[in-house]
Amino acid sequence: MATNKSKHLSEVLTSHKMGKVQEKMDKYIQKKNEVKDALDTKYSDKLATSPIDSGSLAKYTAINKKFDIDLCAPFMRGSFNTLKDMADELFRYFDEEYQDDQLLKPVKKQRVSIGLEFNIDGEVIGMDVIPGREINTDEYTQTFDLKLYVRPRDLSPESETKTNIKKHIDLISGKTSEREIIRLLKVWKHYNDKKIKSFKIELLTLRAFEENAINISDDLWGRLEMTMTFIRDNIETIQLKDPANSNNIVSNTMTASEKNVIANDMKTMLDNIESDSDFIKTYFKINPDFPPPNNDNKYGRKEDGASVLTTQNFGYDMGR
Amino acid sequence: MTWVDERCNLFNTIIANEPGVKILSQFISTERSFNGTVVVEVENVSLRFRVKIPIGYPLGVNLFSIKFYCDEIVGYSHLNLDGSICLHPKPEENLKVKIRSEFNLLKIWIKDYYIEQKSDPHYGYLLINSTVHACMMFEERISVLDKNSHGEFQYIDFYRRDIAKDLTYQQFIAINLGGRNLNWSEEIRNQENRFRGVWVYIENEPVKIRREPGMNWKDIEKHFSKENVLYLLGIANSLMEENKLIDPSIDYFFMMLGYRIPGDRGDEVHWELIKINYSSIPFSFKGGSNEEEIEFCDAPIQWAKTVNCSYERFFGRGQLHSEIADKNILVIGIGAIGSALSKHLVRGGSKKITLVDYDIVEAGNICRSEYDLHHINEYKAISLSKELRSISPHVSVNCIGEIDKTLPGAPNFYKIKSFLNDFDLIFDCSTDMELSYMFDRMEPKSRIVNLSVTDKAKDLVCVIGGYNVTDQKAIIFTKVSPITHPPNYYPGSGCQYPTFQASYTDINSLVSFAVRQINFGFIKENLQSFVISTSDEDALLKLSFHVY
Repeated sequence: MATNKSKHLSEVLTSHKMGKVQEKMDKYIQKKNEVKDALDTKYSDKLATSPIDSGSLAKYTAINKKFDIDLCAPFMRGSFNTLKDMADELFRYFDEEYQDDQLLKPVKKQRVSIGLEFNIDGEVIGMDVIPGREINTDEYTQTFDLKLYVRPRDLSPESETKTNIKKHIDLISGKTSEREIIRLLKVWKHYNDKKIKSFKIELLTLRAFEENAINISDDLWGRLEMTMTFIRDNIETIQLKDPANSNNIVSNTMTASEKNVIANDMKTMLDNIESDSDFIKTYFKINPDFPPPNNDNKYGRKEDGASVLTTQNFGYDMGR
Repeated sequence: MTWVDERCNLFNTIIANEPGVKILSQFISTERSFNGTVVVEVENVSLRFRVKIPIGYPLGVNLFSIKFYCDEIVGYSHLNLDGSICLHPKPEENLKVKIRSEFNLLKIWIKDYYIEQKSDPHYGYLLINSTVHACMMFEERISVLDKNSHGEFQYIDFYRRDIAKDLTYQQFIAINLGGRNLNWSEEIRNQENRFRGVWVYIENEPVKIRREPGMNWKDIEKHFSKENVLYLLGIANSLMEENKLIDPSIDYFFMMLGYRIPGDRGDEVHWELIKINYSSIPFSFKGGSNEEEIEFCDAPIQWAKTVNCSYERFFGRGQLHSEIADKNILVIGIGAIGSALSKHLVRGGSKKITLVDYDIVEAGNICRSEYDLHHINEYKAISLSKELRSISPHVSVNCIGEIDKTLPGAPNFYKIKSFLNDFDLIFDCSTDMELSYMFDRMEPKSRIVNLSVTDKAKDLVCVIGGYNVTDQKAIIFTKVSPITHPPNYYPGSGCQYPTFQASYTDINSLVSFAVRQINFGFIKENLQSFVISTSDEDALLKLSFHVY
């Protein structure tokens, strides 16, 4: 039976709304505020402003299946001698000094952030705290530019990078249609265990909309199909720059093979959905925790019968 | 003149005309070969060879063709224990060309290995004629030991088989050696009933001269230090007592003799095995109790065999990607698909596998799964675990009867999720849709690979999760061969288990390709669900492949 693709996608988005998990969200936000207040108190003489929200929640691109709450701590230019001192001090603070029974140890040193995990009522929630330092004294509140310390990894030595959380948030601000597609592609990423970074999904989606600006479909599937087609045809050649730092060519952080895999994924999805619209349900899944009101639970309807083989496949339990 | 006579004449004529070759005794025929004697001269050096030409020449016997035996020399590279030279001529149907080529190879051997005594870039192992029907497995990679260091090692009895009346071949595995624990599977490392032996690191090959292995204790006396011998004499009684506790009939102990050989990544230690009877320990103090002078007996060495089964050696000729081989794997359902898959994994170098199945082996299972007659009425997981361990000493196999199904909110939800999270890869070969549904809802960290086949194994469906296996399966199965009849009931299967038809070959041809595709997906970091379909509508069987 054919699936109404746009209706299905709309139900996917609805089922993944953050509002569906408000109670959980409230706890998480409370936790985020506790961390924020602790940093404010501890580093009152070093912070340019209070820590700011970053990540998918701040950008309104989160899906309720998996989301981290991220914080960026903007330190003043003279707060630390080096960026490494800043990153090490913040790690030390959470590793040794910060008191919270819900904080899981060990605290992780990540590439540009400190990775915290909290066990809140049996669920583990991640929170990345990114320490940044303003580039020139007293400039942060005008430019919002920050320098981050990038820890060495594998063969890459330590380095630094510029970023601007506000620009990242502003980039998506007000772009409702783009945000829907970003959230759909994040749903695909989550349920299909794909490795592409969310930031790259954002940049690719925004570029797809820019380049097809005169031809944006009124239809949700049309917009998703346009974005997926754009990614399929362009990801292997396109140059994606970080809007907060034109020296950061985001597309260069993917290998040719990784780009080919994404292009291939998009092609497979487009081809299969074209051949049978029902495939859209496998790539873009409705959150089973929040199905649409008229959608019966599959396992509530299951036909029972003594010794009846209900599937047409076999492996072992019928393999006698 | 018979064909054989003509051949003899031909060989005598051709070989007499070979430059540098003189026939000492003319070739005559036997049932299986033409035999003669020649002298070959290279750079003014002459060697006498007995020559044996296969009766079907220029066709050879196994990998060998003309055999050249030199009875007057020993201990040279590529000189076999029976005195023959190890040469490998290329296949050639022209008899004259082939004879010329083989004599040229012989001349090259004389120049390179007899006159100049060259070393090969690849180490050629010592050829030792073992007289004891036993083999000790060890694993060595790069290793450094001090010359004439020694110590105790432990080994287990791994396998034995009768090779004749009152003659048993035994296979042992060394648990530790050269002062370190060897890197085997957990099961082997933890095995009890360990025998004790001694090891001595002599650094250089235990040869009498050049590359001729010592066959008498006098031949290798020079390789041992006085401390080595004192240690051996001091520990022999205690080894005997300890080993007799495990096997009262044992009247010997083993010595592992280590020496340095060149390896691909630097020097490594190779070990040889010697059996020493308690009643005839091959060294003693001269004149009774004077510890200053030790005497090696004029007695033959009882060499046994060894084999280096390090992970790198064992799987050097082909293994699965490290994203499979190095991972903790759960296989759920070990019938036709799951048992074949498990063997693929183990032969591909997998190190840790857990098998899940509540069922026992029945006679009807054997025709299309990896079970044997002697497994009947044993739990499948137990049977298969033994089979897998007998394939590789590097795989640890756990067995579980079943996994409780659960849903979010149930009291055992987090316990089951935590258990599953320990596995990097879950191969679900169970066709249990409820299990897929549970994984989708549970979202374990593990990657799910769901494998199943359709009637007559026309299609193999591989769904890679994600947390959407149920939905993927539901729609993919609308694309494959439609079901035309209900599953069959087979006598002896009880009411629970109707099944479709498909042979071992039908199923395994698809499973093999599926494993290759999954492996390829890991190499390319591009794992996608796929279906392999066969079609027998035309005169030729057709295979098609589709990704989802």
